[in-house]
Amino acid sequence: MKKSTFEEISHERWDELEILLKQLEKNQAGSEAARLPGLFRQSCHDLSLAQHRMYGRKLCDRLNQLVVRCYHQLHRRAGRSGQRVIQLVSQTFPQAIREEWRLFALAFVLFFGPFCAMIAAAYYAPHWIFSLLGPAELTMLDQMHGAGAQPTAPFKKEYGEMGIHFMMFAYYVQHNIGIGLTMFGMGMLFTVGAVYALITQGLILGAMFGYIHYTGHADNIWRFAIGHSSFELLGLIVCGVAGMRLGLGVLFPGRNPRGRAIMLAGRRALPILLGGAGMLFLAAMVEGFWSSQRDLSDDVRYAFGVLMWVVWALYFLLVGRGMERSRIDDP
Amino acid sequence: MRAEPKLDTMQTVEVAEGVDIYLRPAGPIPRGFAYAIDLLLRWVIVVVVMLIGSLGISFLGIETGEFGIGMFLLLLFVIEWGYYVICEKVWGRTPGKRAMGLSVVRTSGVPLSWPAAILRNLLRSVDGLPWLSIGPQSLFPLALVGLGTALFTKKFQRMGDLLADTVVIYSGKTVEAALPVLNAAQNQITPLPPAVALSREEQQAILLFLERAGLWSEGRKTELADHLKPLTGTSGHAGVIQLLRMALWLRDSAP
Repeated sequence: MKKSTFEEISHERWDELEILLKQLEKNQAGSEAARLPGLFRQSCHDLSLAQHRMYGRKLCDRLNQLVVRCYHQLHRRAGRSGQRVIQLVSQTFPQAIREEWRLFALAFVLFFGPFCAMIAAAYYAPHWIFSLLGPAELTMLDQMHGAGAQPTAPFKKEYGEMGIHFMMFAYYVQHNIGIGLTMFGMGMLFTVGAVYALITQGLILGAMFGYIHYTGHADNIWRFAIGHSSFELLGLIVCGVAGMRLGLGVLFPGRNPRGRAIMLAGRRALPILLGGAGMLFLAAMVEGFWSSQRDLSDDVRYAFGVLMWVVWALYFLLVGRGMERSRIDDP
Repeated sequence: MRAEPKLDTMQTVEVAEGVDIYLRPAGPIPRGFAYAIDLLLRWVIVVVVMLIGSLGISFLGIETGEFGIGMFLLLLFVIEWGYYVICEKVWGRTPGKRAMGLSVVRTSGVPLSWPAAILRNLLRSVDGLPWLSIGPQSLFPLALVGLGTALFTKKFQRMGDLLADTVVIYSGKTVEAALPVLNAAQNQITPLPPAVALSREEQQAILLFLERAGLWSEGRKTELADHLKPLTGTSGHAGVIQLLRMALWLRDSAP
């Protein structure tokens, strides 16, 4: 068969498919969508023929485009993202953390070791604190947590409390989640990036707390921070775990080729990262809208804060236990 | 996947229906341009919103105060972390990629899922290393890590692509298809049957010569046609013409 004859007898079908694809890509197709599988098979056949009979690059390209677009439409995922989020929270995330409990313990020590050391430094070697924090940070800390200060003190009050709370929330979203996500990516460098970030975050946060201890107003910062501490610190640690999981995939591919090992590590790390980012988002909400409230009594603050630590511990230990191991499925 | 050494970067994917579709992975240069366009666009969005927020609204006498700053910070977060994920998941390409005729798909040819879109774009921090500081709060990626990885993988995949199992491909009109195909009538070239029977591969090579001839300089065409002196019987410009005539015959008139 000559190329022109082939095109003549087939072009109506191709044109029909082209129109159908345009509708499908705009989500406007009705019942005629049922024709897609048949037209797809026919186009696959046409493409094979055209390639075999060497009908030229132009025709093959057009048919290839048609086939690829059909393939995309047929393999499009049906949207059910709400259900997937619920499954992540109620199953995949806590299960993944339990599976990575060794990495979690390591990340916990990497963060809280330097953190506690810097607070201890307030009493034994305060020069360590001043080697980490510059005058700008110290002034800000004094303003927020110094004698008689309020965490919202640096901001003007004329726009109302809600505005200030919202701004703090937005700042913590932008700043803290950014740190968590960067930590994850940098973990790809043989875990070094994640380990480094965990240690430096521990050092810097520890130095900030240590400085307030040093000035003798420790209660000021703790009463502010206790409410969101579990969300934020555990969230950072969880992001670190996700980053280290990536790096381990690069370092120890096991029996897989390295490319595939990296891919598998990514799938294991993703629910952990999403959970960690979610925790940091919650932390920003609690920090912006709860911790920075002016009129809460200290008893309520500490009770809430401690309760949240217990809740997180129970969440990681118990939720999704005994259920089938769920993963983020991927086509 | 075919094992024999290849002349081009085409990657074939066999779909369940038994036919091979091919993907044309894009190299670092068009992707670099796409990145630059996206970077510029993100800057423009931020600057425009900032100007509207600080100037426009105060002209209108509205005080957004802390709410305004908060919204701006959230916008920064979305532009920094969400821009690529959302664009690539929803449209399969960012505006920069669109401008360069590129899009992102899984290596199997299917569109990105949310997990893939998130993974591939979170790794930009690593692929961009080392980051060059070009001003306050502004970094520009030298991207040696991503470039290095891309050059050592068959499908030009950077770290993020490897992790998410994705590949950036040409999706617009291809170079060859966009070129005017040599027309027999225009060039007064008449089809000519080859003197000897040619194998499938030989026929294909000659057809490809016809399709791509428009891309090459005269010297390059002559050089290639000279290899076929035994077939065409002449060399130089006359050889090129002979070869094109045979190609036309193979394309249009072969039984």
